[in-house]
Amino acid sequence: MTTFESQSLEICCRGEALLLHPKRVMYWPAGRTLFAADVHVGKEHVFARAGIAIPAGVSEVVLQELFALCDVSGADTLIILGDFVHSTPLLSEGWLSTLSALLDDRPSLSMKIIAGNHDTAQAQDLVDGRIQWQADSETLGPFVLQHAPGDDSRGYLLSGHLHPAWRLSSGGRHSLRAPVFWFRQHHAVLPAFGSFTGGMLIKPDKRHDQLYMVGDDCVVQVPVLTASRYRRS
Amino acid sequence: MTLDEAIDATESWYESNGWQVFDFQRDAWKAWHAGQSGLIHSPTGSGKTLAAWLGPVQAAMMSPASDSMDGDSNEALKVLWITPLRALATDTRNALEAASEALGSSLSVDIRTGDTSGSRRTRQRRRPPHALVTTPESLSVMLSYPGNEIGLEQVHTVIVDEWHELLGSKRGVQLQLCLARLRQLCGTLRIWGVSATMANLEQAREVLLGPGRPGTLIRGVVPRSIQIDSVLPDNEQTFKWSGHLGLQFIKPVIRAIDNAGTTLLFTNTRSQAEMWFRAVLDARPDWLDQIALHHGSLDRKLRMTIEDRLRAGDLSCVICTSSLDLGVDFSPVDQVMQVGSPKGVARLLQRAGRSGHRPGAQSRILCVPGNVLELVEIAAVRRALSENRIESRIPPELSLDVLSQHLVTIAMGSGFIESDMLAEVRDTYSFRHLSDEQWRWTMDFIMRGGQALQGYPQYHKVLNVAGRHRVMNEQVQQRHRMSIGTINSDTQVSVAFQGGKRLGSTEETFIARLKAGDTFQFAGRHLEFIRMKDMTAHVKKATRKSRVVPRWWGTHLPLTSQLSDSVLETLHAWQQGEADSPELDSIHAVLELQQRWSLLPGPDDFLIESIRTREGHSLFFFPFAGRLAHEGMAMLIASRLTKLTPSTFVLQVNDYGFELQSPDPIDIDTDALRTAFSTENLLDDILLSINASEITKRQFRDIARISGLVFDGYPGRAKTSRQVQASSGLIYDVLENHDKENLLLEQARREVLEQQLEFTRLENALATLGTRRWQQQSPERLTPLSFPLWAESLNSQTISSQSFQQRVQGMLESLESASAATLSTR
Repeated sequence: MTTFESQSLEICCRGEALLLHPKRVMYWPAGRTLFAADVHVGKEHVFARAGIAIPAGVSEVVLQELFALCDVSGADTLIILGDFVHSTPLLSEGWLSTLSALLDDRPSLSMKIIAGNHDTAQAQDLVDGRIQWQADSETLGPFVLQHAPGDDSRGYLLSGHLHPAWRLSSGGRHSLRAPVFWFRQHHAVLPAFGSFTGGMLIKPDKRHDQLYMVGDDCVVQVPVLTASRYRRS
Repeated sequence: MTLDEAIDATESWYESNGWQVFDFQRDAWKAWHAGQSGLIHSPTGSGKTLAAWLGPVQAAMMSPASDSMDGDSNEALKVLWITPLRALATDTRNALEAASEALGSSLSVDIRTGDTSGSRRTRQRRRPPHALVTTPESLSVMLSYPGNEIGLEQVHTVIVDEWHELLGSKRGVQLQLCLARLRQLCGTLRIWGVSATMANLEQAREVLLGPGRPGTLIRGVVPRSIQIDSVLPDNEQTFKWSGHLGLQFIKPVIRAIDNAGTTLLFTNTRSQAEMWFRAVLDARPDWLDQIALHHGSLDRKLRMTIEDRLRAGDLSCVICTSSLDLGVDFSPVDQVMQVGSPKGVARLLQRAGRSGHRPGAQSRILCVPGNVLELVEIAAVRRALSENRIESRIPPELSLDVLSQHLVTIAMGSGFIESDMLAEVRDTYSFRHLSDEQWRWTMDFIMRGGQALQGYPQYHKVLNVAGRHRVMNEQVQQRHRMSIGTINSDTQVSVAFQGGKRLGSTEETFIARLKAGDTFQFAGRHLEFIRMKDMTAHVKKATRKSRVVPRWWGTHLPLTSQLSDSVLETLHAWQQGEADSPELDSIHAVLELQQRWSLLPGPDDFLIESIRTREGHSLFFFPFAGRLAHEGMAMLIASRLTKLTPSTFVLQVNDYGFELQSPDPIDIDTDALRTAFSTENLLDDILLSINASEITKRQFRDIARISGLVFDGYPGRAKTSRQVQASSGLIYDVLENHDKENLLLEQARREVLEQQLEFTRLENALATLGTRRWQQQSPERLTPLSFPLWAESLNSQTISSQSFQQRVQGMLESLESASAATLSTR
């Protein structure tokens, strides 16, 4: 078992094994494909352009982490489920060349992005030409890939967009908030990969949804229970 | 007219009104005419305004040539009157103008605040008034325009009203910087402050006038004696041990309102004011026309109507918060009530001073306790007051966020030369110890965005243009002016009827939780939420009643150390049989219960209770050091204990002590506990425990907003700026990871240490605890002292040394047992 596998939680979805990794990526061994969503590279530059002093270098670190995960997982293909960039970048932004260098080092890796609402047409032109872009959605084995969650008759849909997070509460005062992999009846929502992104608390369905909370070093399945029923009164 | 004649004319004007000139007023006028600066202090409503104002008026009486010649230098702004609340501006202007006109001086008075219309501003630019009533923020905005908008060069006097309100806050720091600017700008400048009573008056004067500058302290009339009474429980068995309502006292409160002419009923929070207003109205629906609600989140017009009616003697009761602590006298008020503990001696003094303005009347305040411990606090306030122990207001120091904001402001206005500006900044009390390194960092932050914006010359805010630092970018200027007013404000959402009538504002976080059709209480009404649009929550009258009341941020007042010390002494005196107070007598049985089940601590005891509750195992500590110091202590002790064994604690604090709660049994002996409370490595350990904790992030919110790291967007244009919105918590994390040297992070930690946790108080408390008798008790159940802590559910924090997986596992187990218990009881 590789370190990547031992750190991950293996689940089964539509007959396929999937590895959920605490770095907020998902690996599909049968397709040798690594999935990530909502990377939002270049966000700090958008802030900088507005005169708000967010340190440079956040995006470079995020990209290095992303490609390191490709190495350790053994993926042939990297698929981003939308919102790879935060906004149309300027050519001077350092992460553009970092991205190219990371791709140079991995000639056998193919990278594909399902365009999200932040991935402007200009952005698609500016980033490295080796990346394939897909405008709306596409099928891959039993899966349909799309940025925004929803149901699709062609298969089980993998998406991002929401930056899902969950608050686990034990009924007392102990509670814990973390990003989640949110697996629903007909689609799944991946947590946001970028470090400079917030999270949104979700409202899962008790009967059909599975929640996998992301900790620092592990992914743990938690029940969809709101503890309010057990609050002391 | 000579000076003597002007003063004579003033005195005869007093006489014709049937008033008497106080000696302190005469002293203040003379000091002003002698060119001095100073601070006038006295309790509320005793002629401070005229003491400060009539000096300049008399000067104008002596040189009445102003109207005759056009373009004369008299056509310029001479006096700035700074008020902490823009809601007070209109009343203040009217009072100043009335005196000026009655005395036949030609001093014209106008207002300039965030509410002043564009056309009025233009008029002020063309023809400046002689005196201008304004706020610290509006003064700052004036300084951000080249030429200072209406010309401040000829100002000879600045009067800062209610200085005690500004002194301890960052708005006060902002004002200090503006005053230093004015000292440079204006040839000779007199600065006068008007303040309520506080312990550190000398310091208050030095902060106002600048370090080392001479000035007089003028003491107003001697405080009247104050009588403090309490509503006492008839039957203490039914009296709540905790909670904040005290609504069980509605009957005696109604009776007291009925027996008085006009009552001001103060509550500590806006939510409580809303609840009490409803409760009074439910009890006496026939009072609909004569009672009113007043708090800072209600629409300004609404509040002004209520204030006018209050002055006219048209209302029998106004339920209010600190929104009516300040302001022009409301003479008809003859009764003041305080719901809940006043939390401080000065605060009670100020509120009590709201009544009895008629000559010879004594100030009286009727306290309505919310729980047992608040009765002890009331007795303790009386004790502290009898010994004249009043709190200080401590000015913040080295607030680099405020400095960054101010430097950009000045760079937009006249621009500045670095060496001159540094000298000017160091000429303020709060920055007198500014180091060269801190100055360089701040300059770097505003010029290059610190580390972060290196290499993006086009985005720099402040540029060096031929030796002068200026802001050239129009967009930066616009955004900066928007953010000047943001010290101390959270993202607010307007609440309005569909027809457009505005009711007030509340925090976005509250509205965000509502769904269409949800009902809540606001502005004394039951409302139904319809939708959120353009930063406005549209509502309609609800058809059903609601118990939901918005919670406003930052409404939790800590007990001052004066008062918490006094509480311990009061309890001790009771034990010795020396306490002679109706409050303590009425809760005799509860205090005895504490003694029997556990122990009633005196000044020499340190009580620790270890109790098993339904939720787990709790340790309760009672150092009596005040909420803020307890928060730091709780984090410190919890993080030291988690180092011994992997464990998770949820922390809870109040003014008397703190609780560490764990799902597992806490197995710690006294020696280990004593080590956890030691002062060794204190600073390092506490920095470690607060780093990246919730409390630091909370503090960073304000810093990020003031220094421009977080931009809330233009009003009504929220959507266009969405791309540059990020929570301050997120920014904190990014800075932590990528720009560790950022001084704003350090400032957040420092502010947490000094202001949030009262580090000095904490250190002293730990040292004192070492010398006390440690009394470890294991009561069978929650005691009168521990119950309120257990029942508190606000702002709890978690400190853990367990892994994510262990914690999740633990929580899942307790969830399972809880659901099993629920099932078995069905």
